[in-house]
Amino acid sequence: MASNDTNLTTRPSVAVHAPGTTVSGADSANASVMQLRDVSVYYGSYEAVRGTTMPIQQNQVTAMIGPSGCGKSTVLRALNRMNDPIPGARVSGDVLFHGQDLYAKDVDPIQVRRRIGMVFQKPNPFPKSIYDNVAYGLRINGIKGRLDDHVEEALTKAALWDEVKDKLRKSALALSGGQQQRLCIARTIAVKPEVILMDEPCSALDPIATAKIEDLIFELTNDYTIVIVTHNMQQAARVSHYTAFFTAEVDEAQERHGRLVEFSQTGKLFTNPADKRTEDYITGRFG
Amino acid sequence: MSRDSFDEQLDRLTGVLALMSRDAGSAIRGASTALLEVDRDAAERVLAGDTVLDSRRSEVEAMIPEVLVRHQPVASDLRLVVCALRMAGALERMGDLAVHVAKVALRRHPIGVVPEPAMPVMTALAEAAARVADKCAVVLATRDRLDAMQLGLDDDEVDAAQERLLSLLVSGWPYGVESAIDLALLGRYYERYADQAVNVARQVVYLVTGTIRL
Repeated sequence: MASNDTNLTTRPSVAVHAPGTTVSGADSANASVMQLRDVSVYYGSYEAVRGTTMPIQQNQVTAMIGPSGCGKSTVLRALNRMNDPIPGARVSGDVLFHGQDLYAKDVDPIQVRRRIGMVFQKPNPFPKSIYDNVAYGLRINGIKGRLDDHVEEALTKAALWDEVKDKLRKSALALSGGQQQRLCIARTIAVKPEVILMDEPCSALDPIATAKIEDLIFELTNDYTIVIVTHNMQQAARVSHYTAFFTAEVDEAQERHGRLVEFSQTGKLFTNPADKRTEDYITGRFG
Repeated sequence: MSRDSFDEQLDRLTGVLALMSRDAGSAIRGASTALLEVDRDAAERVLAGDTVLDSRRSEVEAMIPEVLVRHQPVASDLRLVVCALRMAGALERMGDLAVHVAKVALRRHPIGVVPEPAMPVMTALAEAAARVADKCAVVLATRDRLDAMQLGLDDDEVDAAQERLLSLLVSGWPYGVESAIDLALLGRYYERYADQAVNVARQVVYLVTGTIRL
């Protein structure tokens, strides 16, 4: 189970815990581990995503769907400050993690990314052994205890242990695409994050590998909170508890901005969406 | 699979349902003619027409798995597919109940089943059921939520007529037990027919609003 320590700063600070937030359609039994309040993301003067307000519920899967350019990946990356290295990238509004503003001055982005990990579209293992891929984050984070045990635990949780236990010293690059992606998930969970962000984690995988990752996502909700961006609406419907639908809209100045249109329980969103734009998108009535 | 081909399939589905609602309405009118006017041909036509309703239901049932597989419908598309399956079942059942009425008429032919004193109430029952059938067909075509909810009230007329029929039968019915049983069953068939029409209307409400109302 992930640690409850919410200290993200390099020096001691007082963590503020937000009370569980209830949003339309959200199950009040689940507290929100993260909260976006009027979050806009800018690249220079360009406002890529405008005014996003939504919770990320604890131990649940939240899917973000929408057409290309709607800002879903941008918002995902704002959740663990992955946009920081992009020159000119800026976030306004509040991205709260246990009530603490992730963009506050004294917050260390490295600590943020340890607590809120990310898995990318293309499996990107290090050109090292399977073992070292998982141990890498543990070593640089100075995690104590028996490294072997931590590696085994992470690989087991990522549903990969049985397939690789006899070849831990072999190169990670020799694994299949699906195995590589599960290795990346193992690498992410090895450092015991609370939240795992996944940016189209299955789009480079075949249906069998996809099914394994989807089963794994379901398993992982026992210990983690997951936010997944996917172009595959059936995947969002299969794996998520909550779905956020984003779209791109053109404003008076003819500029396109990403916008959150609807956030609700997945069953509700896919059977009876509240917004016509959601209905039109998910039923394939584009443009 | 394109949205256009999907729309074509959904249109075909709603087209078959429209035909079924029309046929279910003709069936109860024909059965009432057979019953009240002692018309053998009308009864035979109801029986023949029912095989068409049965095959249309099968057609809907065969279309739906294919629609699900090819298009994985969601939102209003999904509700339409789910509703279509239930509506086809209800409409086919309406046809069966009309057949039951026609068969009672056939069994007694050329003797009339409805003695003179029961004629006004049986006529009222037949007319109320036909009205419900007509409205059901209209609601299916217009998808008007309020009209669909209204159908429950029209069904009350059928229920009231059935009550009147039953009270006639239990207050010293002079035409024998057999006749009383026939009429009681007929009342039941009309009442169930109208209930199934209400079920179709409920599906329209769900289709439009996405919420299930009991």
